[in-house]
Order: sequence, then C-alpha cells, then structure tokens
Amino acid sequence: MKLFTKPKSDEDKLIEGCIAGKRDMQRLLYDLYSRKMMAVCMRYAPTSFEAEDMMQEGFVKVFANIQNFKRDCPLEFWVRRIMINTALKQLRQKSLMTVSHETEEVSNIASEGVILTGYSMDELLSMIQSLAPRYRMVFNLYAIEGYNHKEIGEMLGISEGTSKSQYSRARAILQGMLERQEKSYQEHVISQ
Amino acid sequence: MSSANNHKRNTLEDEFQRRLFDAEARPAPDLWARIDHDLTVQENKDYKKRALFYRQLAAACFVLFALTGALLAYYYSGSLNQPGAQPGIAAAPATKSAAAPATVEEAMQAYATQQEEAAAMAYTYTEETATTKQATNARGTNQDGRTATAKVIKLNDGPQAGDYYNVSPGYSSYLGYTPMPGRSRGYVSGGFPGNAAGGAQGNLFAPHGNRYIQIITWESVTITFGNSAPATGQQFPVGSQSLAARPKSFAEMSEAQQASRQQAQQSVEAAQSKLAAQQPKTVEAATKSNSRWSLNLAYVPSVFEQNIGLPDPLSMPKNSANRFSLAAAGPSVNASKESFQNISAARDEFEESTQPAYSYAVEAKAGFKLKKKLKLLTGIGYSESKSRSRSNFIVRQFWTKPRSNERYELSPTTYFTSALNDGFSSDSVSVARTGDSFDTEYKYRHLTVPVGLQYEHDINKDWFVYAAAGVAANFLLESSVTASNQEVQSVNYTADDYDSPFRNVQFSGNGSVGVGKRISSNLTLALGPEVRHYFNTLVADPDKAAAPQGKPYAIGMNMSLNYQLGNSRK
Repeated sequence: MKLFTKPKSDEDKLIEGCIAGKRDMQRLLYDLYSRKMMAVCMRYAPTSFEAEDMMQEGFVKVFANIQNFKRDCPLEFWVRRIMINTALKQLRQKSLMTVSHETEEVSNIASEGVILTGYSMDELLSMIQSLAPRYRMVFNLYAIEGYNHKEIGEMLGISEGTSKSQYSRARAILQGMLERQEKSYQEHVISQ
Repeated sequence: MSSANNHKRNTLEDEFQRRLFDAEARPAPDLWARIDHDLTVQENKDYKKRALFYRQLAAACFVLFALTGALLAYYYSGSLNQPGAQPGIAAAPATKSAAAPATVEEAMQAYATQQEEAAAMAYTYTEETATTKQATNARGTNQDGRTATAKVIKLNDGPQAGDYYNVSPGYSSYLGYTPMPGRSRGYVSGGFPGNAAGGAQGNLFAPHGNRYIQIITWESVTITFGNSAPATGQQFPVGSQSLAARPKSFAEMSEAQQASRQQAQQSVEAAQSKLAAQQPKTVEAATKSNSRWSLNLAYVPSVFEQNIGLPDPLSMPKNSANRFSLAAAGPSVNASKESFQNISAARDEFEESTQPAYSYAVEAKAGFKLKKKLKLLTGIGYSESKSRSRSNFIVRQFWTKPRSNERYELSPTTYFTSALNDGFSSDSVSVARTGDSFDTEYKYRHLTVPVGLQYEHDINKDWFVYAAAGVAANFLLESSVTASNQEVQSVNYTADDYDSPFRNVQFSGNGSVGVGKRISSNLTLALGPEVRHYFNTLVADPDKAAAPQGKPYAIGMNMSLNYQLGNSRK
C-alpha cells in the first residue's frame, strides 16, 4: 500500500477515462481542445472543410493512441503534435508537397516594424492558406509552432537549407501580401 | 529583406505567433458526431480483430489436435493389430541379401533329412502337444498374420519334428536372429543336441522337463513348447512392455481429443454467432487486410550423431539372462581368444571411425501470429538422419545341428547390428576380421510433426533476428544398416516391422537462432544454426541392447522461407 500517493489531477482523470474508452471523457477532451485544434488545422489546411477532415482524423488518432501518452509534456502539446502530424500525412497523401511556382512578386521590403494588430484572425489565416502547401507548412512550423529548420527538415524529409529557402520565400510572399494590403488601405484613406 | 539566408526570428514571426498560436476557431457542430461514429467503428474493428484472433487460434488448435490424433490413432491402431509384437526387443534384422538364405535352407533341409530317418519312430501325442495347440491357437486368433501357423499345426495334429510350415517374421529365442527375407517358412525341431535319452527314444515331444520342441523361424516369432520354455506371450519376460495398456491410453487420448474438439467447435460457433450479429463486412475487411497466417518452408542440412556405441566384451549387461558377451548364457558360445581380441578391436575401430554423415530435414509449416513478434508454427516434415562407420570386422553366427553336431554358418552381419539386442543366442558367435574393410551406413527416416514458437525482432527495415524453439513427434518410416560389403548382411526395417529394435515414435526438441531478411513485403528468408536433440534413444529398449545407448542429436543450419498471407506486417 502506498502511503504517499500523488493525488490525481483532472487531466490524469481525463486521460484515464479516455484510455478506458469512456465516451463522456472523450467528449470532454474534445470540448477542451477542439477550438484550438480547429485553428491549428485551419492554418495547415487550404480550406475549412479539409481542416475539419484533418481534425476528425486527428482526434480519432488521439483517442486510439492516448495510452501511449507518456505525460512528459502537457496533454495539449501532445494533441497539437498529433494534429500537425495528421496534417503532414494528409498533405503528403495528396501529393501537395511539391513546390509550386509562385506567380506572386516577392517583396523586397524589410519586415521590421510590421504590425498585425489591424488584421483580423480570419484575414491572417486567409493569407497563410493562400500560400503554396509546402510554403504554408514550413511557415507554420517555423514561425508559429517554433520548430527550427533542422527539425522541419526531418519532419518534411527535406534538407535544412531547403527548409530555410522555402521559409524565406513564404515569408517574402506574406510580406508582399501585407504590403499590398497596406497600400490599398492607404489609398482608400486618401481617396476618402 | 528577402535574403534566403535570413532565418532569424523577427517581428513578423513574433506577430504571427502571438496572434495565431493560441487562436481558436469554432469547429462544425456535427464534427463530434462524426468523430463519435469513427470511434464506434474503430472499437468494433478492434473487437472483431480479437474475435478473429480467437477464432483462428481455435482453428489452429483444432487442426493440431486432429493431426496429432490421427497420427496417434494410426500408430496405435497398427500396434493393436499385432498383440504379440514387442517393438524394439526383437533380435535383429529382418532382411538380408538374396544369396544368403540358401545356405540356411540347405542346412534345414539336411537336418530335415536326418529327422526323416527318425520318422519311423512312433510319435506319441502328449499333453504337452495339447498345450502347444492351445497356445498356438491363442496366438493365432489374435494375430492375423500368424493364423496360418496355428492352422498348419492344428491340421497336423501337433507339430512334428522336421515339419516346415509358414510363419510370419519374428524372433527365435533359440536361434537368435536367423534372417531370411522373402521367406515365411518355419521349421520344427526337437530335443537338445546330444541328448541321448531323447534321441534314442526318438520321441521328441516326450513330456520330460528337459525336452522341448521349438519352431525355428526365419524372420519369425518363435513359438516354444515344453517345460523349459517361457509361457506363451512371455517370450521376452524381462521388461516386456505390456500392450494391454495401450488400448486404454489410446481410449483416454481419444476422449481427450474428442472433448477438446468439442470445446474448439463450441468456441468457434459462439464466436461466429457473436460476429454474425455485428458487422460482417468489417470482419471480411479485417481478415483480408491483416492476416495472422503465414506459410513456412524450411530446409535443415545437418550432421547427425546417433549416439550408439558397441558393447564392451567385459562389461555385464543389465539383463544377465541374455547378454552378448563371451560369457553369454546361450546354448553355447564359441568364444576363442582371437574372437575376444577382435571384439575389442571392432569396438575401438567403431568408436574411431564412426562419424556423422550428411542428414537433412524439410518441413512445411503454417505460422500463426500470436503477438506482434511471436509466432506459433506447426506442420509436417520429413527427416533423413545418417551416420557411417568403417569396419574390418564381421560377426559370424553358427548353428549346430542337434544330432550330428554339424555347424552351419548364417549370414555374417555387422557388429553393430548384432549388438542391438542381447538375445544373441545362436549356438556360437565369433567376430572375425575381414580381408577388406567396408563402409556401413546407418540411416533413419522420420515423418515429423513439429510445433514451435518463433520470436522475431527487427534490426532495421529489412533485417531481423529470430529465436525459435519447439518440439516434434518423429514417426519412424524406415531404418537401415547398409554395408558396402556384399557378403555382409544389410538390414532394413520399415514402419510395419514389429521386430524392429528401433523406436517407432520419437520425440525431440529443437532450438534455433539466426538472422532474417525481408525479400519483399510478404516474403522473408531466415538463416541460422539449429540444434535438434531427441528425448530418447533410437533403440526402443536400451536396457535390452548389448550396445550402450545414448540420445541422438543433430546440428544443422536452418534455412527457411516464410510467406506472409495478406499484408506482410501489421
């Protein structure tokens, strides 16, 4: 008999309930993380429909493999990682990982001083979704998830240098988009 | 800034991360319902996989029990048809070269001529002959193959000296081994050689304690009459294995098999009824996509050590009543000093020259994956185990005519063959040196039913290591001792020879470790050393053999090809 057992946290109870296959616990976990994960999936998927498919598959994987969760990190990180891996798998299956030739002009303007406060989240997501799949992937992983280029290279099966160059190009495209948005906004203000 | 080398985090990255990392979006309202449905399907699939696993396990057990039961039934039914048969105790060899029998037959005919001279003498039907008839009839009713013997004796109203009759193969306690292939004739002799009283009276069947009549057979079981002879059915009194126990054990085994079969069928039916109530299509899909079954073909070239020696002439066998030694208690043994020296020399020569010969085993097995890395393998196989030696010595046996004391020589045999039993009781035995040395090959062919477990561990994508262990039932198909010298008799026993000294069913254990390579998604090749050790001696009753007996073993190289049915890896 253990005299000093660590009291179980709510997260532990939630995990154990999911491992036991209790549907109410699974629903609880879904309710807890579904909004954040939906936003994650929308960043990786080109459309919201595909984001929902991605999330559906991701949550099924979460519940099927939750007994393998080692609890060495917060549960949210683990769920997020599964969503990202699902996104990578889906994109790989759809053969969208090939680099498309961007027709957009690459901005040469430095990005210092960029303020995104004026943009709504939908606008920012729309900009990211408009990127080519591999650019979108590299940008998400580097700029938002915080992976370094070496890790990204291993995840995508590309070299570190390729990851860097693709990120730079994605970044330049986004800067161009922001610049054009800024110009059109200024013209709109002047005309008024 | 658009440099390709610019990979430092900047305001842009920070801004995007701040706005989007913890962003939230509302999923579609029906998304949970879709996930719930997927989870239900997944759970059903897992359940059906487990159900399928137990069904297949039950089927595998059923096949294994049925196969084992059929083989045991075949083996024991064969034994039951031969109630007088005593496997392994028989004296020796059953076949010989075609030229050899003539010598013995001539000897018998000459002896018959002598007996015909005494034919004028009155023959008194005694109580002993009545007993003889009873004993013979008792044997005849139990043995189809020997009914003819009983009938002949009965028609003649008791055996008479000099009579020939048909008998089935067996052993003579008086002559010891008297081989004559292709013959099924016997001869009735009477009286001790040199027994003046019996000879003078000419009454070979007189009811005196020191009189007897004996049916001398070639390849035969002897039926012996008289006070000095053992009782019917007790020709080999020491350590004889009672066959009465066999029907009982077989019945028990049959019941056990029947019970296990019923249990297996019940479990299969229960699983089927459960599955029928749920999604059958999913079961089919699971069956097709992830099969636990595999087919395995194995070839194991090996070297075989039969572990049989030759007897020390000075040693005392356990059964002191019958021994193959210079002091043997047979009717008479002509053991000269030279013969003694030759026995010692033959023994040393056998130990030095005996070496394993090329042997092999082939097996076709079905594999059933119990766990991810553990597999149950069972099937059927065939093995041929050989050993060989070189010798300069032969064993010569002589039989003496009872009346004239004239000696006749039987076919020479190898010392090995003679030493497989200790009832070597021909009138005289000698071990002689031949002019030219000759090779002797010992061959044992078995039908095997292996059952084993194999554990596989991946080294990388293409290579894996394995460890396997199991047991096998080995059913003797044929055993032979073949000499390259034409004059030396070769012997050969088939599965139906009940006078074979060799064990008909032999169990063995085997172990193997090695590496494997995945040739394709479904096909793997494994290679590794294998050791096979038999749990018993080759000779059925080692205590009755003059030669020292050990448990044989084989060391070989296992080469197996495995084909995974359905998807290769789960």
